[in-house]
Amino acid sequence: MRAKREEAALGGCGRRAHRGRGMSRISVPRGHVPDIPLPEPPAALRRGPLREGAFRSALHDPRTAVVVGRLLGVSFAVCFLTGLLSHLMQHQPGWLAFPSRPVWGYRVSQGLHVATGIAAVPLLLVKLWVVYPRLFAWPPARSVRHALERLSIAVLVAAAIFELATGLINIVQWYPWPFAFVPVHYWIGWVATGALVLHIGVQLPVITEHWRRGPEVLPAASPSAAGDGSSADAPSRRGLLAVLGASVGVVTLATVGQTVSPLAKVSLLAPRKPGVGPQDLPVNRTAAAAAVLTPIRDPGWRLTVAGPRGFSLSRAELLAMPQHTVTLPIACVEGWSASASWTGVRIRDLMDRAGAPRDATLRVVSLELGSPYSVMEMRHDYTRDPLTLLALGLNGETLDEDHGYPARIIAPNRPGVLQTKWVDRMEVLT
Amino acid sequence: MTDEPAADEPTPHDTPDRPDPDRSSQGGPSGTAAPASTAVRVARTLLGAAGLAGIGYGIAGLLDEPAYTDKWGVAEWLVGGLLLHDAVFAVLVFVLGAAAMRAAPGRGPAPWVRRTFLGGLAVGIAATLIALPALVRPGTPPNPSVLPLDYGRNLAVVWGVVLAVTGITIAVRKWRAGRG
Repeated sequence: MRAKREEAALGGCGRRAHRGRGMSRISVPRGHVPDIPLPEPPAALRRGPLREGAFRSALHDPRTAVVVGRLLGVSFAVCFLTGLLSHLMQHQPGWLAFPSRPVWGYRVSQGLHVATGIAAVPLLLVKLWVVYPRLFAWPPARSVRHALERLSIAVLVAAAIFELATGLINIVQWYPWPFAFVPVHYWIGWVATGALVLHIGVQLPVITEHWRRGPEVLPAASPSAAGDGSSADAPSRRGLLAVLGASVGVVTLATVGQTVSPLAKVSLLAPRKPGVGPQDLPVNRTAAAAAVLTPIRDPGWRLTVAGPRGFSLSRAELLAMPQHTVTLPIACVEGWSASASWTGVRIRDLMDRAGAPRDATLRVVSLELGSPYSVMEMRHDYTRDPLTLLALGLNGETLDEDHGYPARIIAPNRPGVLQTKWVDRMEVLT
Repeated sequence: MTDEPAADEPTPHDTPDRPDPDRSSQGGPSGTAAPASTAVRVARTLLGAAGLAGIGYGIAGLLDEPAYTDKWGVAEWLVGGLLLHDAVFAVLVFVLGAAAMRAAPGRGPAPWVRRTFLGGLAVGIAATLIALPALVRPGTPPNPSVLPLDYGRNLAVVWGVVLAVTGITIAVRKWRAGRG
């Protein structure tokens, strides 16, 4: 056996296929816990990918699994952290304050969340391809312990696929599931991350052993040996990584223009295009969809500000106040974002007029009823920022109905769902 | 299971002085050579505990979620996605790969040409999966700024570019091989 393997290592090329043996080394080291063997299923069931020698490529090996796994691990970490940040910004605990700068903070973090999730699709599929010999292992479960190991992997794979699939479907505003996307995507994100951390712990010896490149015995794909069927024409890890890199590059270029505006022209598959929408800005929810057309068209609309010196103002009176124009992005949780020029009254001017203390929180209530975002609260980190406006105009025109006419909130470094449209009233909370 | 698999292609790190990796697939001890150092053991314990805590926190949070009423809906989607990959997608990829690599052995295109072609298909399939929600979403989008593009046509353009680049890659390598 030694001699045979040595011959193989030296480039011998017996024609019989090996069985993806490399992968069999990724397994839990067995301690002293007794294990119960399971009976092997009838051999007649061993067909297709389950057959011996079904996987011939030398790339089903631990080093490739580690190399691709690292990239996938980084992408999942980015998705988890940016997702957690977005969650905390929308469900801000009392002890946590977010700064209103940099103005592009949420635009970058949420854009990264969605772009990284999209890039993770080919990463996950290639990572799983590398371990196909273990997916199609025979017998499917050797023992109780082996079955449990595979079950823990099933949790990881199911949660990972769930997160990528639901995220990808959600960004086209399609909700074909019987549950609320936001909380379920959030909680399964914890399951996926936990299962990934557990997986890294289980595989740590293999990961550390193969972290650095070992003595390379995989021949580089060499076109000079083309066609002679010799072992020189073998799959190379570099070739696999080139395919992976091309896949990530193509899916990223094809979609990232929805947030990186200069790339909008090459983003042929992006669900959004900056510049497409009323007043050249995309819309998430229209005035019609929010059922606010009647109240926003009421000429008697007035903004009510409740506070120590509460008041109410018509739109004309708001326009008579000092107007400020700011350039701020609107950054949607769905991963698209676009910069725009907003004109209106500073929130801090309105709050000062209402006699609000500097550190007061502002509650903003929309004319839209029954949405989780009908009521929004904004702490002084945002309300005191000179860029935070009650916007009355957009890109030099009167604010479009779909962008929040008669008045909306626009603040730096905030999720789009918190940029409340169709404002009805504001309350100073002290 | 025979004991003596002759390899088509050598496996990296499969050097003779290492333990036989086959043993683990037969229920023997793992192929991990050196006994784990204390640092690795501690790290494994911490990672394992943190991972289990994360899974537990996620499941508990989900079950506590007031908005979460259809308990089976999430389970169906979790298991459905897993089956879609493991029992459908992976099998199709295997069949495609096996057919492309094993058809007409010794004749037809060289293995590296077939492999490069499969690589091109992989890139195209990745793009197709990304475009799939836009392509199969029923009904009209809620407003004209959602899905404003012609995704069927655009996906065809992406496939065209990917296949063209694949063809050029094969041609260039053949030309180089011919010169070398």
